[in-house]
Amino acid sequence: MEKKLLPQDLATAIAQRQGISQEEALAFVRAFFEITEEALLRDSFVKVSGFGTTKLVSVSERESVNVNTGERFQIGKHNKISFTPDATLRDLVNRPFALLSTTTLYDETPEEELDAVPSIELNYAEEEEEAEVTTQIASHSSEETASPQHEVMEETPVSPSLQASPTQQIPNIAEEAPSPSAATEVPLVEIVVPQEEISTNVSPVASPQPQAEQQHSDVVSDSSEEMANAIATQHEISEETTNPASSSASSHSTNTDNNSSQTNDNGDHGKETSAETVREPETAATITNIQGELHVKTEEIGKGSHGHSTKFNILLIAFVTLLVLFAYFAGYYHWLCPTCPNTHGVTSTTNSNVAYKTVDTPTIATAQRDSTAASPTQQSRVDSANLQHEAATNVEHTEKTGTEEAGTPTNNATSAAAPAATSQIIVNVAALPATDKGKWEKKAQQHQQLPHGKSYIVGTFTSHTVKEGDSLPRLAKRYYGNANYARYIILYNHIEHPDIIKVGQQLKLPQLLQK
Amino acid sequence: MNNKEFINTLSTRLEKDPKTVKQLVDDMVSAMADLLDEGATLTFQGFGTYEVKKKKERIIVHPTTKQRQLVPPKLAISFKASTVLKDKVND
Repeated sequence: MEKKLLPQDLATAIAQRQGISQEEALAFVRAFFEITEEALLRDSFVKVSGFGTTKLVSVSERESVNVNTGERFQIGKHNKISFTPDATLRDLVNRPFALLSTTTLYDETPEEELDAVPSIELNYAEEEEEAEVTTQIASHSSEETASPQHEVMEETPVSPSLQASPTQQIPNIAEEAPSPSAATEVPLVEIVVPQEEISTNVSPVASPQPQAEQQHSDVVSDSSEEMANAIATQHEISEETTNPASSSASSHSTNTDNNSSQTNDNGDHGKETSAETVREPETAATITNIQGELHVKTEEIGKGSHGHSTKFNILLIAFVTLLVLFAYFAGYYHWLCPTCPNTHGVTSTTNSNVAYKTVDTPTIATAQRDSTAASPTQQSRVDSANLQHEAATNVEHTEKTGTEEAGTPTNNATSAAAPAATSQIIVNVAALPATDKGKWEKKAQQHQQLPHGKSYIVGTFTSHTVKEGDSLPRLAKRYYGNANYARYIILYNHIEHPDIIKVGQQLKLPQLLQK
Repeated sequence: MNNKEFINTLSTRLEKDPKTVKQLVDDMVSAMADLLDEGATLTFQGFGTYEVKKKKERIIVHPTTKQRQLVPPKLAISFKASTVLKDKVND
């Protein structure tokens, strides 16, 4: 792979590109380096754009020791030639590793894990092609870079005992374990967490099993011999379970889960193992063994990066608490949805569009709220009574005009619907006669409209004095039958902060024309 | 000597106009880059050797923050001056 090339080879390459003769190209290459040399001696630096800077660096006198005799001697002052490639050239050559960047290692990483790093380096040296994949993993898990290798070391002594167990699958995994690429091992660290979760998840399905597992995990950590025993006992227990089918099935699925998570991270190896697990249905014993192995790993990791996991747990708990607090306040103050109805304390029963049917709602609300709310209740009753009265007269009046306009008694029914519309807070355009449509639309043009709204604002229907316990969505619900209509009230009254309305504030409730 | 001076000197030496020379230099550099990228070693007699070397990843300690950092492995171009050039430089 490594070739020693001479200026002639370079000249050939240039000649091909430029379309000049070989001799010319060679002369050019020679001249290039001659001039570089001359300039280096004269100016002590040569900068060629796209190539780099060749520099003469002077090294001052220093003392050194002869490694063989231990004698001290002087290294005289001399000049050194340094070459710094241009950024473009440097990046071009470094393309295979371009994705990598310097990562910070944290103090939590146990020191023994760092010893494993040189072996990773060896991997890079050996497998330059695979290096990209391997080192991507390294960059993904900055602190874990060292630890996976560490895992390999700790696992290797364990694997012989596993090989002793009479299954074919275990040796497979054991063989994978000491394989040089870090890629195989990184996911194993990650598997352990689901394993813990899953083993607890299994409990409702097969109750004897988790107990056995717990016992097992207690025992396992001590030695590989004991682990083998434990595996055996667990095997027995899982066979003795009242529901062997379900327990084996559940543990089977557990393992497939594990392996599928492995698949995500691990690629081919994970697929192999999961495929094997699925293929051999009689592997209940095998699976328990694997679980045993995984438990050992859990224990190891529990020991190895204890400080790590506690910190992670604390962070997790803090995050969840914050989330809960945010959710609570967001719900209470309607951060996410300012027009949503505030449901506590209100038992609104009506969906009617007509306002004066909902007169009793404030009574309930205020009664529930406060015992001193008697006077507001009465007031609201009076209000609503007035309102009712006004509306009634309105209806009468418009009915008269309606009949006058309609002229013929056959049209009476339809025209009666139209004037009735004026007394409704929401007017349906379909119910209007064609002659009135234009009139309503003209009215609508006089007011600022809600963009993309379902209704037009056509005028003030009534006004409302804000009382304690009122909110815009609640008012909208009461008058319009739906809290979403609060947007129209907000728009019509030019309210800047819909959450803040004051007691005694006068709100105009717009009459709406449905589109 | 900066790039401009270098191109000019080269153009007088080769009796070509600076534009062509610049083009030639660019081509030479890209040709060298390609050859080096393939893993070849470029030796120029009496001048030195260019080759791509693999630098292993290493851990450094940040002097002020005392944080340990993992520097990823990289491929870097290295230049080794020939003894002839070294002698010339030190005379």
